[in-house]
Amino acid sequence: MFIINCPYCGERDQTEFTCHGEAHIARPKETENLTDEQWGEYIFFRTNPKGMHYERWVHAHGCRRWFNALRNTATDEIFATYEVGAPKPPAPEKHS
Amino acid sequence: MAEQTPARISALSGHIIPGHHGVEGSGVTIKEVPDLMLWQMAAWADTVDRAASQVAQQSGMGSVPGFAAATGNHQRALLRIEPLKFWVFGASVSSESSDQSVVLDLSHSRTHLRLTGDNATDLLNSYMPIDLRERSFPVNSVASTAFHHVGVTLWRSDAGFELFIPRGFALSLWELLQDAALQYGLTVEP
Amino acid sequence: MSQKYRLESGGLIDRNKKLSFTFDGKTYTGYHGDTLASALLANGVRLLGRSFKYHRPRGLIAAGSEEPNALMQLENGAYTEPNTRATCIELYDGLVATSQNRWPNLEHDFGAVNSAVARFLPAGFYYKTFMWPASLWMTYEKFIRKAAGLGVSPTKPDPDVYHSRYDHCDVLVIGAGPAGLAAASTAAASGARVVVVDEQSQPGGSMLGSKQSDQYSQWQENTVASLTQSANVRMLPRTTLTGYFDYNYLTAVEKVTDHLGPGRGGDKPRQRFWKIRAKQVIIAAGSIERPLVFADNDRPGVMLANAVDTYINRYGVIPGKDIVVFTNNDSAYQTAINAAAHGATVTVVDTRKSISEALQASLKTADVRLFKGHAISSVQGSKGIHSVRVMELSADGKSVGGQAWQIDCEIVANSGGWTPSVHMFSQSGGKLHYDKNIEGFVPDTSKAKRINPNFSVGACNGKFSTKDCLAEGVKAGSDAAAACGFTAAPGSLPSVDDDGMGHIEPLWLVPTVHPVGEGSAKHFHDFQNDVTAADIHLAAREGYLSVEHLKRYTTTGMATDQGKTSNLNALAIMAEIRGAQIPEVGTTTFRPPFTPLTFGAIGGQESGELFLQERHTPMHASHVANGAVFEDVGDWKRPWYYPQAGEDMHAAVQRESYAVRQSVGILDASTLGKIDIQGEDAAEFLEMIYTNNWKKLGVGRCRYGLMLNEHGMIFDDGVTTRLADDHFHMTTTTGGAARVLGWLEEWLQTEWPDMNVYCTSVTEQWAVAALNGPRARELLSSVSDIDCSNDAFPFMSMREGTIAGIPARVYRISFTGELAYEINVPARYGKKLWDTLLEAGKPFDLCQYGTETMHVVRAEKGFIIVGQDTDGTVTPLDMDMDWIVSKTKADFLGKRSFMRSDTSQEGRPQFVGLLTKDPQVVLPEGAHIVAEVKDAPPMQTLGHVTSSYMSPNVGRSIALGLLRNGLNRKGDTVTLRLMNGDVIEAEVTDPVFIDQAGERTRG
Repeated sequence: MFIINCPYCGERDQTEFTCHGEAHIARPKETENLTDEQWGEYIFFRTNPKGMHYERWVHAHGCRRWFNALRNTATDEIFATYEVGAPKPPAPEKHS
Repeated sequence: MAEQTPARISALSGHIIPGHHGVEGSGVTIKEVPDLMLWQMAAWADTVDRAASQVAQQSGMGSVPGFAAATGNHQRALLRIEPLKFWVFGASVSSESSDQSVVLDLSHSRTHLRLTGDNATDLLNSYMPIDLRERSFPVNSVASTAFHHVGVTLWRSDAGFELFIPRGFALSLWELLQDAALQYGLTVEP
Repeated sequence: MSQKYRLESGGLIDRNKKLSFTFDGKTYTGYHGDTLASALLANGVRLLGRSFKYHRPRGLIAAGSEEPNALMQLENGAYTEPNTRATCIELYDGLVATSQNRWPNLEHDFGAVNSAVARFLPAGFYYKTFMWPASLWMTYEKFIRKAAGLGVSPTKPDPDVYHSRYDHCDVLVIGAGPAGLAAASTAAASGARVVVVDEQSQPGGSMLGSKQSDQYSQWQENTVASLTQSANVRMLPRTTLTGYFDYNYLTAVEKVTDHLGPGRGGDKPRQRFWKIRAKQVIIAAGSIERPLVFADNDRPGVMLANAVDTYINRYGVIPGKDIVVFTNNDSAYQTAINAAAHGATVTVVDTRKSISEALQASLKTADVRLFKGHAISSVQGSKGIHSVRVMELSADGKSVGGQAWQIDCEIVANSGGWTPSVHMFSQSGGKLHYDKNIEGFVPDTSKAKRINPNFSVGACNGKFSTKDCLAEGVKAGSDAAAACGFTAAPGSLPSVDDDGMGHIEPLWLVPTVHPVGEGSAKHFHDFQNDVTAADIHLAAREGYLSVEHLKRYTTTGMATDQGKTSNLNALAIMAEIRGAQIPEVGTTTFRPPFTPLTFGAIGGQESGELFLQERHTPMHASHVANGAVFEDVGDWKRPWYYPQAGEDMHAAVQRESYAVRQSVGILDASTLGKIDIQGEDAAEFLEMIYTNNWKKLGVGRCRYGLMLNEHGMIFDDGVTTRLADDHFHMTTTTGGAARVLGWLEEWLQTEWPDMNVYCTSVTEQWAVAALNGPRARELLSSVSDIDCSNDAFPFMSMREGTIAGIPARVYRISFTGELAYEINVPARYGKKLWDTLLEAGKPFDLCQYGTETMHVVRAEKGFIIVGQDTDGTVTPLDMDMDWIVSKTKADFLGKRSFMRSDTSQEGRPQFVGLLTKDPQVVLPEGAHIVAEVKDAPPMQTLGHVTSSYMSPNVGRSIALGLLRNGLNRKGDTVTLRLMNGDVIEAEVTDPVFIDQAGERTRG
């Protein structure tokens, strides 16, 4: 059961949050000009790493704000949480 | 309004049994505070300071609280429930939206309980995973959290813990509170 | 004489409080402060159960929660609980305990025949024997379960109440022995918030069972008193840490009133489940003495040395008058001397040849005989011991020889060394390393999991002397407090000079005159799972060399025991077989729970009626009073139908459905999701969310909208009304309300943060009564100040006014195809509104109707229900709803997916009406339309029925469904094949069965 540092509320229990998969996937502009492959890439394909993962969370039972997190999926260590729109924080080189 | 509006009916009407329940002593006292008046004001990043000062002034609070905090007291207060969202408690707000903010009447949407007593934190921690120790959650702290899968808002006022429950869930959560309170000794105030 | 093994004095028991209890129907007495185990031992009862597999007679081994044998069925009836450890049950008056795993009784057990055929029940027996044929496993399983049965589950509902709660602290200390108390008091003095959990009824840990110096006793007393009085400390006795999870989230079970006896807790819970979030954790869980693995070491009377010590010191019970102490280390000498001091005749058999002069001298003083370099080669007796044979060990420890000394005894107190309790550190994700000095695994703090900051101190860290325990406790208490931002000033400590385990020379498997596995003797290393050294040899021969394979093949270390006494012995024996070092064999992962816990505790107070939250509309009390039958829709309790006297559901629904189209019906629609949408970009936002156009919708006007996900599939629907230029009121399906709000917020916050729009749920703010039917206008006009004429208040518009003095917003929208008004009032007026309308509706034949009628009448009009007629694979085009899909908008959510090859292909399942050839036949929902009927599946399916009802207004059965290429097949006859084999023919029709021109709703 994680403790998640909501960028707005601070450290709160995981039960208040839900995770929504990979972050930093922007909805394409002018969608009608996309090929099926390009559109398919956007709606179907996501990374699934063992290790560092940039992912979307929402503080559903708290401030209801969406934010991003950098989490090691193998250890569940969360290295950073940051506001939507902020740049990706770098992944630490060495991590447990 | 042409006619006098009829009496309001609480979601807990008929289910509040005043008196003492459970073990001897009174570890927790719960009171339903009737006829909640609660308005929401939401502003934009570039207008929040102005809009908040304005609403603080209108509602007589004077100062604008920081996020997850409140100013005022258990009769009238301004709660900042999201970075750009406020609740005005105990007063109404002009319902006209401006270019600075939007307002919304939520008075009927919540049931308001006030919890006091030595075991109030123990009781709330039966359901809420929030650190309610005085140091972590001092007077005028505000938090929204999950109570038995239901989103609720908790504010520690000068009078105790003020709990705002979505009306439809009020009876279920009231039953849960009452059940867990028996072990501490529960006083239900009329 | 009763309690003939009770000493004249001593122990932490209250001899003024005599308690009576029964074991296997026989009545005994004990004292307050006893455990069930100590009380039985005081009465000379040593045979306490039968073993799991071989049904061998078993007695007590331990005095604490590591006890593997003495598992009891506690109490009867609804209060009964199986597999409780006699060593952990505090005695109360009237306690009823029964032995387990025997039939017809403990003395004469038929299952013991298993022991005679033991050679046929080796490790892996079940896997090998009952593997094939797979179809018979269910048959085998019944017999295996019965034969292997431990206790019996209660068959009645649990009468107890439980409590579950969260707690937060800076420092959580696990264990209240010397190390834990030192850590807790140091951390507490700094001002940090400290929680101390300990499984025993009082603090002290191992010291409760040991002789202590006055100085130590005084320190402990002061420390406990100070902790108990500190406002920043929570002491939790009778509380077992059951699990250690990530981010220092730990769970513990507090036995709040168990020790009072069943049903005696009053309004207090029986047990409390703690969910504790700690910034820092200090594990001071102590250590567990491990048995020596020698021939027939499971006979009742073979105990751990420290257990014998504990029974003497804590409970004032001498387990036997003639005691052989069998050891490979120094710590058991204390037991020998203590037992001798309490009148027992004691012999020490030490596997080591060289023993310190001081120890030898102390034995001499105590008049205790010593065999050096010897071992117990056999144990005589089965339901109890009468003697042991002792022989000299060879230099390599692999054999015994020379003279066999027979020593009469009732008790063998044995010690194979001490195993640090690393369970919690292991559960926290930490790795272990092997410490050769103590012959055991200890935490490797360099390999702790970073998200779980913790310290292991004292015996669980391999530090067995009290001095080291105290020192480590103080240091960790100070460091943990510092990590939480507090400064600790260590207090004074008592001076103590015991040296813990002292010197140890491992002997993992004690030889006999026969090689392992031959002869009749068994060397048990895992008592609870009945696993012997011979089983490990067998596993090795069959190639199960890795520790995880060994565990599963032999079952060692499994179940409720979690290898407390057995783990290291099993690893070491395997290491010897493989010629490997113990760390090379590896360690198993210790899993929660540390000791078994009740489901009741985990569930806490949220069980039974309180398990599932209910959601009630403001009119709920009226529905109850009016006899509604309720349906669960999500958490909501919605009126399903309102039966009148003598009506069944069918009759009620037919009557209600008819009334809606003949006069007027009233539905509680408060559960519909309602979202307030405000901001200058609100219309722009809706353009992206819905498939149709919103910018030009007039203020006060309503519009139906369809939401798609990015796959182009229908996601939700509802009517949205423009309240002002920048203000909309959206409605959603009841079930989709929370999902839709989340969906809107997601897009606003993650993709379009520049849009100035706020979305807020107002579902709970408004109570909604929907009037539907030709007389709705008359009824509304009679109670309202709103001009309800068709010109003043047209279809798909909203008006504000009052209803019987209540401020209201009235939306003229319809889900029935009738003239309809949805009256919204602030929630606290909802009941008043309902009651007022019911009264005012009498002249208009107003009829309350529930969700079932709502379903029927909307199906008559072919109105879809998202989630029933659609299932996440359906586009608006599939639903023949391309009229609602804008052709002019550049983009909206899901639009691009219409062009995908799959979504745009011909012949997809499409929405149609279905009329059975026989108008009285109501198709089952879910029934499949098949291409060709066969006797049995598989059959090619062309679609299925999504909605189906008997319609009183159409005068026959109607159905809706999805059919491949259905839009082009109207007029065709299709065939449905039901689960029961029935075949039904139906005509494909338009899905609108009534008023296809839509005149009724606009009139």
